[in-house]
Amino acid sequence: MKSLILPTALALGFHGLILSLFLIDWPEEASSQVRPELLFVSASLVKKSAPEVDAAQKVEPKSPKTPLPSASKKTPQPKQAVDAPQTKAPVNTAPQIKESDSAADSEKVNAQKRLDAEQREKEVAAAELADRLASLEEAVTDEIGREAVTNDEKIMAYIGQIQRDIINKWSRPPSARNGMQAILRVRLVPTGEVVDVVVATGSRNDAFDRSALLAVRRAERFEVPTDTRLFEQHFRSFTVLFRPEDLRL
Amino acid sequence: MNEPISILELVLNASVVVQLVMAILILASLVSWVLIFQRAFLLQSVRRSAANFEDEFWSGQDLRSIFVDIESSEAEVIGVEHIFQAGFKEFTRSRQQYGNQAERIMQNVQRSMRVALAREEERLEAALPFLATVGSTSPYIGLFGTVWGIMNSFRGLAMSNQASLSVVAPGISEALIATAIGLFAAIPAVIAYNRYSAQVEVIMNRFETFSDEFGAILNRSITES
Repeated sequence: MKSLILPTALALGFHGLILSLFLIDWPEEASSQVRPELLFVSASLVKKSAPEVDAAQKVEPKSPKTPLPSASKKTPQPKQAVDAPQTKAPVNTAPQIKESDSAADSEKVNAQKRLDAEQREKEVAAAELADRLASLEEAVTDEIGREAVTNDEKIMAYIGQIQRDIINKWSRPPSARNGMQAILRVRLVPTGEVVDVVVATGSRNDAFDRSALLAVRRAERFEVPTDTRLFEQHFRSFTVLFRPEDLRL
Repeated sequence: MNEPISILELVLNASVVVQLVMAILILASLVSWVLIFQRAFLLQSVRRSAANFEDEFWSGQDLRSIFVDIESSEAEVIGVEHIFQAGFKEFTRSRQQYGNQAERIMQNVQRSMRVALAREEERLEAALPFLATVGSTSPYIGLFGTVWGIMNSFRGLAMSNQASLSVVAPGISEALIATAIGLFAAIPAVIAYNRYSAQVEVIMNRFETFSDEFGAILNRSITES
């Protein structure tokens, strides 16, 4: 028995060492992995809150042109564009929370709630940050890391807004079926007006494709970032996925 | 900014089965490491004592005085010394009983040395089956935990009408921890098992050689007298 004391102590120490290494190492890797998902999470949650219609959206960055952010371009539209997501973000979170409550029997409800709460916090924080950013834009551009974080959140807010705009304008034809999907390529000008929208991948149902085209055309104008660099990277040209998911047929 | 999922949170939120699997695996890992260290010390001490004893044995010292030294020492007699002790004890006893009947004496001596060898082998190989079991089964146990966790998280996905990666991702992540722990327990156990069984074989060969040589010396001493 006495001969077991030293090995036991060594084994415990070894495990403690491994565990502490693991714990020290964990958060860094996790944060770098989780951040790109932000964009996805918000898109899918917003998607869920739409009662009938669904449009998931993917943003495809165009070839990086890297236009220099000129101060004169930013100043003409100071706050209007930035305030929009701030006021709407809290409203949008309400249906999400309700839905997750109705599914309270599911095991993952805690995780989901947490996610929702995080989501809401994130959206509020994103709006606040965006607001602050608008006033302190020059100061923040120096801090590259922080800009990266807030840019993600800003983009997220704009994408959500664009999705909601399109969903509001979309009326599906009766021939729409589950599993159909149409991908549209939309091009905007820096003021947010739609200049061109074409069907990139059709659903092989003309009525469905036309309804999707019409939805984008009727939206006419989207809220886009005033920051020209953000706009060029994410909103100059993007694709929208139209997919009804809640139909019975 | 999304808060990184902490590992503790993942483990604590896991389902009971997965937690049980993790607990079993951590226990298996702990015990196997205790045995790994214990074996390492034991094998080292056996090898060192064998080397010391063989030096002493071949130095031409009187066998009786070596025997008396071993008998009088307080420490537990292990390894070559144990074989020598068993053989020599039997030799003196049989010598008194049978006198010069070399064959009979040698039979008894060899039998008692064989018994001592078997004891030593048993002692050296004591923990190896456990290490082998941990090495071969803990990946499966971990896999079971993972499959169970993934099953649950997909069931959760089916229940919620929102099909998003973020619903299943934490569940899968937490389930994969079980496999990670299983591998963490298995790899050292397999390595240790292979290493120690090879070492035990080497040591046993050495013991057998020694017992043959010792038997030859005793046999000669009977026929010479």
